[in-house]
Amino acid sequence: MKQFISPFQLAILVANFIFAAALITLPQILTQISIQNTWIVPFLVYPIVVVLLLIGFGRGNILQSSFLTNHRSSLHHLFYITIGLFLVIVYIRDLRAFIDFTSRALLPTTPIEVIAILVSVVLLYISSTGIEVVTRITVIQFIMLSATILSLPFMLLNEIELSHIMPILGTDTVENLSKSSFELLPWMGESLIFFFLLGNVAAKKGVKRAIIIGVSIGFFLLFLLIITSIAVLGENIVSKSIYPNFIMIQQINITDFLDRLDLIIVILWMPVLLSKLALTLYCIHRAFFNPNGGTTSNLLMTPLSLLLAVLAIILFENNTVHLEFTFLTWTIIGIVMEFLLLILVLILRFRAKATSLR
Amino acid sequence: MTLCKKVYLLIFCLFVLTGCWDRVEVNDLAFVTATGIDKIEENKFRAAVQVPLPGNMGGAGSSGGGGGSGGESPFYVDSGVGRNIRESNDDLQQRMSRKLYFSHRRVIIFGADMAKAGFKKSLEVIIEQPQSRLSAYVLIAKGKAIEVLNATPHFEPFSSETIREMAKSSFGITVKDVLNDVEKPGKDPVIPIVETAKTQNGDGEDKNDEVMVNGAAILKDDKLKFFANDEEALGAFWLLEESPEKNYTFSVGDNKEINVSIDEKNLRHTYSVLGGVPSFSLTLDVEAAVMQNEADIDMDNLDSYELAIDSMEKKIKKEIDALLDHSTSEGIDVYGFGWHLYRHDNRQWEEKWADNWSSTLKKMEIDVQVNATIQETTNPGITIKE
Repeated sequence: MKQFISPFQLAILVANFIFAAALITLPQILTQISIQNTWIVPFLVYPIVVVLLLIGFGRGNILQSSFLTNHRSSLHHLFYITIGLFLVIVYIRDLRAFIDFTSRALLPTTPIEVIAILVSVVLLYISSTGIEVVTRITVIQFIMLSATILSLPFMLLNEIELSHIMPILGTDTVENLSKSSFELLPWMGESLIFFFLLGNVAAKKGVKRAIIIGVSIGFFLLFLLIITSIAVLGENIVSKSIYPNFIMIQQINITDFLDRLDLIIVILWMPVLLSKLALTLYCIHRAFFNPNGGTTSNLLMTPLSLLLAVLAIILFENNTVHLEFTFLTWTIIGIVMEFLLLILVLILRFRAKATSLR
Repeated sequence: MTLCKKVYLLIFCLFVLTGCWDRVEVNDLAFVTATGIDKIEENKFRAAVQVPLPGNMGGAGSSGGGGGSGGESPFYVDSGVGRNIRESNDDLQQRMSRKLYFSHRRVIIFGADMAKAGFKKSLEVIIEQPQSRLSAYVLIAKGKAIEVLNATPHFEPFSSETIREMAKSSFGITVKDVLNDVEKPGKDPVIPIVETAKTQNGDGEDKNDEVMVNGAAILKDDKLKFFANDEEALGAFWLLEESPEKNYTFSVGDNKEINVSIDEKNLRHTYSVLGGVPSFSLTLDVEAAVMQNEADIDMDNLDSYELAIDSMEKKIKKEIDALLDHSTSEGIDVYGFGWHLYRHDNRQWEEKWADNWSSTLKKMEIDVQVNATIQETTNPGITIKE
């Protein structure tokens, strides 16, 4: 039986998808490029992403209907294969980021292979239960993390220095902001996953609004983290730390005795990233092995998750290679694949429209 | 679930649940509360740590956590030598049965020689090391840092805790602040000085090395340039310290002093650029309450009140000028005038001042104005005159 999600759940899935992994290391590279103006970057990228998504979705529900139908064209299959490849890269990138963070900050002597296998087993367990369970887990965890992030500026009020976030209008400000925006765009462009999930949304009303809300929440939370980390740590420390948000939450000190909240917040964040990875794994499996949603077999999910875990380990010799991929290679791959996906979505929509007119 | 699957699951559990690689028992750790870093010679450093001894930490009449021995110090200090901080720690680790653990370190002290040579690289270890925290206080010792760690103040069991308390309640500068000040364009760090002093109890036998956090070390980038004298150190308080709480004494005549407690202080600045050279105007508003009126000044008399206020303002201005004159003459920007220009006039900063800020500082005019008010006086308050 096909599983369905509501527009609200879709919004949370999209918000989680663009936010959960971007917060790990992305603020570092953005701050290196556009120093203390970095908090402006989400405002520059947000309209671009929203407009692109709206162009892809179009008016009415033609695109949604084309994904809901059981008679899929070869173009649908091409879309599924492309988004499947896109998600494989996203999955490997995020899984390795999660493993590296766990290994560096929490379990320094545990081999990364063991962490990879354990995480993969958890993801396999969640993903094989289907989109509904993945969504419910995501909604619960995401709301808890969002509430925590919203309270961060208050918890760090005594550490915030406003001069750190004062915009600086220099000769190269526009150039640096453009570079940073280019870096951020493919990360936020991951919200294209929503086109893939359209086939699981039965409701016809409020879908477009859900996308906008989801993307807005994701952007807002990322903005909040970037501005808080720069205000608390200063651009110098943010641009030198691999995990600036982790160092930022270490600064929380509400009296002398309540200054070890970092682990609690990390524990709230981990399931959020695991939810994103579980959704990605679910989508990869469906894109490659069950594009029509006809079968319910998860037989290939196990080898798929283990293969991806192995790839996450062997493709990157060390965490520096992974960071290089994340900051440099992914930017180009991400933008190219996202535009390709958008073009495919547009063609799908125009075809569906032509068919409906006939 | 079939029997076969159950067996597979059990076998899998055997592999993942047999043990944890990162299991660490508390009694295998040496919790470092303070680090002292001294320079021995070129590219040779001594990193000393202060580590509590749980066995000696029991209260009076108790045997302590690990069966302590009364009268023994509750901490010990040891050090290692190396070409950098990590190597020094590794050298020390070879003599320790417990693993050094830096997550609870609250104080980092640099010896004067180390500070003169520059310590940015030593501080950046803290960002690289996930255990360490940026919230640790940084201080500079007038002599060797290890000597301060060895102090045995009366009030707290560890000198590190004494230093932390004193730094927190006065001019506390953390690793985060220092790293930012070192990198900020047009701002140089000012770090509190820590030293030891013998208990001054006359002929009493109970004399210990007490810890004293007093004065300010003035740095250019990450290198110590000079220790501020008493007057300049007070200037640093007026310019840089966020907390206004301080007791302050000023003269209003020969051998006549008034003691006040500073309740509020607010520092503002404006700047203008004439002929490509910036000039700053600093205005300091101070609110104080009289604590002791030894001079017996009649505060409800306007002339007397103004005499007291005028004396206070002049003294504060002199202290600020002393610090600014000395630091700017050496091309050091303690207040962050350049940082202000960098943020507000970035184009001019990059074009005209960024490369030669030290020389610009020397010819820059800085006008200091102090507006003091005394909000509260001591009893008897108003005296009714006949």
